[in-house]
Amino acid sequence: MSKPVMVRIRKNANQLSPAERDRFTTTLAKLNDQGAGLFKDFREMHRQQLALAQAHGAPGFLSWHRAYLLDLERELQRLDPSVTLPYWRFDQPAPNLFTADFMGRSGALGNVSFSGTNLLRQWQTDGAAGVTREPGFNVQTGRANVINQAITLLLGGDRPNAIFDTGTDQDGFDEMEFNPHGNAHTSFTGSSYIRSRGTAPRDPLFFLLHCNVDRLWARWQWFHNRFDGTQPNTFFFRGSATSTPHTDIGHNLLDTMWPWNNVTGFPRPDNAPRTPFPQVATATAPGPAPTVGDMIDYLGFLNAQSDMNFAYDVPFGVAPT
Amino acid sequence: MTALKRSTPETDVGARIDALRHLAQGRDELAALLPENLPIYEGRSAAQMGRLRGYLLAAFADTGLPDAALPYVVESLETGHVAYEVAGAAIGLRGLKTPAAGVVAALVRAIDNLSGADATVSFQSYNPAWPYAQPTTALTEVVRTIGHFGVQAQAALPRLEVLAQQRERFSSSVLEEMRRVLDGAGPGHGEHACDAACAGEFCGCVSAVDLGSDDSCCAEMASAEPVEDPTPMRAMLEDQDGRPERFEEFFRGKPSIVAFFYTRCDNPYKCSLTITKLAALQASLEERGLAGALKVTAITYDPEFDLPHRLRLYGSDRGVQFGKDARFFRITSGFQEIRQRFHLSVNYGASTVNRHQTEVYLLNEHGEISASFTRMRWEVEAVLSALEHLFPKPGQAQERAHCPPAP
Amino acid sequence: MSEQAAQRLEEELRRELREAQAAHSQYLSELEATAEASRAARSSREEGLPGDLDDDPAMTVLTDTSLPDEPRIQVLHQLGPSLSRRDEFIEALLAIVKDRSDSPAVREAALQALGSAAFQVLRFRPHQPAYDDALHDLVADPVPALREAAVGILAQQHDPVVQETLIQGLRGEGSLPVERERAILLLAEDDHLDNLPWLRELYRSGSESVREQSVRFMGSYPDARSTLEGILRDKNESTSVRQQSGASLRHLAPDRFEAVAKEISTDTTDDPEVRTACLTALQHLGDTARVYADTEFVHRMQDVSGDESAPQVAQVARELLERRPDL
Repeated sequence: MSKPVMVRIRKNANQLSPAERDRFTTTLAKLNDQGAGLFKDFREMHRQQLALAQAHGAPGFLSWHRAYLLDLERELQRLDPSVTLPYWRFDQPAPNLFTADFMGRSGALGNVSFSGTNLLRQWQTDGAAGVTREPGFNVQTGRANVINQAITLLLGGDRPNAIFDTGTDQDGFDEMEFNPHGNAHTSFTGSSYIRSRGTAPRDPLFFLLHCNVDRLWARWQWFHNRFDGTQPNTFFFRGSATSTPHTDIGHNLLDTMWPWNNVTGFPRPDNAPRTPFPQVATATAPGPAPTVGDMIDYLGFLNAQSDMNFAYDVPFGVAPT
Repeated sequence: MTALKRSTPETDVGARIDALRHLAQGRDELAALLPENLPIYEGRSAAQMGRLRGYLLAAFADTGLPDAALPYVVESLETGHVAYEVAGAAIGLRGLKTPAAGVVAALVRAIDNLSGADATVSFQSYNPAWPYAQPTTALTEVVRTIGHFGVQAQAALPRLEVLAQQRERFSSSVLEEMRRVLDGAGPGHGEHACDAACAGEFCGCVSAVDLGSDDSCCAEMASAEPVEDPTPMRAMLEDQDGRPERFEEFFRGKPSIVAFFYTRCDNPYKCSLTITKLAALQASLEERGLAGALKVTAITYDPEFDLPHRLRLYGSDRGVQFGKDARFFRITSGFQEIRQRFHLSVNYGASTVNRHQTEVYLLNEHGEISASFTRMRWEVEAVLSALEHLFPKPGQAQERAHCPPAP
Repeated sequence: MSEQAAQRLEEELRRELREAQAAHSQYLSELEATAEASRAARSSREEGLPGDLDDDPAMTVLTDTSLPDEPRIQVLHQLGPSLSRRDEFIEALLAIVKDRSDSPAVREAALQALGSAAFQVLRFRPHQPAYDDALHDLVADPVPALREAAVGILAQQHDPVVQETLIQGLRGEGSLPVERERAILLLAEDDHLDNLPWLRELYRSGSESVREQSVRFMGSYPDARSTLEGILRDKNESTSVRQQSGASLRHLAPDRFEAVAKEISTDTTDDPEVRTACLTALQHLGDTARVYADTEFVHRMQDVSGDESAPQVAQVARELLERRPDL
């Protein structure tokens, strides 16, 4: 299967060229604009308890974060169309990532330093400058304390067709929310922003971490042919929050996702920082108020209209078996 | 007793609270300590303010809760995001035998606000050391207070029944307290039995809004009689685009709504929500063809930090459409003047706000306060209703706003 | 990617997964054997297990404090994802973390696992108070790594109990659970505290990295504006600290930063890294139109862009000039 339009490819952050790296850091820092930029919305979406409940601890976790990353990436591309989100392959050493020219070099007591040409020096969130990050592993030679990619792809049990969350025995690929996702976060110690769910987006590394989470999901989808959300082996809660069975609101296949749906008031948060989902000329999906299910066929394999115009460097354009 | 001052150590203020809770006149003296703009609270950190507030509110359980303290208790339940303060408010409410209007709704709202953020607290003494000898949790105390009101809180019981079955949401101690309250209420409580499997908000279960919360037009009303112009204010402002403005000049010629806020407020139920509602009010005015009838404004408590670009960002992030009559300001001179004019309920630590109430004011075309919506949650409809009553369209007689009697 | 390459990739991945599956199956066999031995040993010691854990080899091994660290930590690593949804797993982790007689390594691994579980917000709600309680217990723990981790997590949440402990410790009214410099920086994460005096102390006495942190946090305090400007201008201060001071000054007073940054970036006697950082900020952030409208500054940039004695500065100056909007 080939792709007739240019697809924006997300790459391994540790393998970016200096020019790619600098364009990314500059653009991300411009989006932050020392706290005055649109980045603030993305931070706010992942801060308070009710907001976090829209995206964590239930099956919508992967869809929500896929939408979250794509939203951010489209804003970056408004500033520089050549930029895509790179991913941090956290089950491998990534020495090029933790440098002053990229995500910053950690010093004593969590201090993160950037070089003079790295605009991330101006990074600001929550009214405070900079980043606190203390890796719990040697960033030059070591890796995060996570299960590796192969084991991640086996999550869901021994059965060859791993199921994405059942309501019965609770095995499913979304177990990865604990490990490797949770463990990637908690491989940083103490007061590191990225270690805690309410402060994690204050560290720009968070977005590279989640890009890898999404890549692993994409990989799992590709390997097990899981692009059809209406199938039980892809998603269990295939109704809405009022169906039987159902799970928490925002996590059923047919539920729209906060904040893009502009639904506020308990059990949703009181405001919606990003609404509607940004539309682009190069893709018709997702729509302005995407559902959990809308984020599954992101390559448009089942329905070309679902193509979101992004893919990972490996594998791109390969039809599932 | 010696007077409390800003230099009085925190622990001594706590000791004073302990002394007053055992005195006959204690409850009124405790109530007198509630306003956050008192000099004794100057220079204290936000954390200290939270501790003092929680402990003070809890003391009313011993003395009885006077009317003057009720708004503070309800405020902490409706907008508290820290477990200690919410627990103190819930405990203090047990100084009432009969729940006042809106109290039960506030208790239910507190459960929603703190879901996932409950924590162990203790009121065994002021600021006790860990580990606590008498631990409790905020949600446990909230539920306990619902039980305290018994049949008078019956409207909350169907909701409590639903919550008590959400084992995935609450700790075992909170679930036990819910069960205890429900069992104490007896069988057949409430007529609106809810499907235990339903998600609460989607199958007709009673919600916080339905529980008689007082969202009427009952804002504090300043006199609607014409008054002479007050002393002109010399205060200077700077708006979100860096344009200077004199307070007196801007707030004349047309009624205005003024909300106070600051961008570093870390309570999602206060400033962020206030400005979100301000944007919703602006949108409602537009829908009703009243866009030109009212200036929509906000003023920051934190002018040194909230520079123009921060004002603009905060407003636009929450949907405010800036324009000639829709502006956010910081005070560049005359802050004390404005503080006194509005009797702002705010105080400051070493560098920024340490505590404030929600405060939104309607000003008439002379810049005088005509109505205020303070401390408790305000709704857009209440402001619109007040606007219609206070500033009727030409040809309509001006009426005093009429509030329905409390249930 | 070609079809052959894709096929090779798929075959490679299938091989990896087969190997991982085999390793996992091997691990489960070994776990069962370890669990069997554990049950037998506990039985001989007349220790019981809660009934619902008895049949689960993972929980049997995890909760057996007489076992070496490695098999217990392996349970967390290998089976954590599937266990994380179970209440009894979280409760077991909490018990391990709180048990001071247990192995520090296992306790640290359990603490990390709890932190990972906490990300599953909806599932973790019933356990949140107990988790916070465990963290509070760890503030006085004899194991430094656990103490430091707990204090860090709580301080980042602006937990008032741990803040008070740190403040009392800094004042000499109690013992500090972490080193003084760390305590100051943890309190600094909450800009609603009176941190400026401590940050000034840190700046006066700390290493370069600590000084950089202190000026970072000074950026939340308008009263620190003149201090930050002074540090930015101080040619005796390290590059990194000056750069951070510039960022903090820009945060508090962007107009003042702009003026100072223009001076520094055109000062050929100043540090190239600091000049570069100033120029980078000027050309990308804030009111860039105003920067370009300053014709005198732009004219000076033309000189800088040709100064090969500071090639990095010259390069950034050239980029700035290339980005200049057409007049």
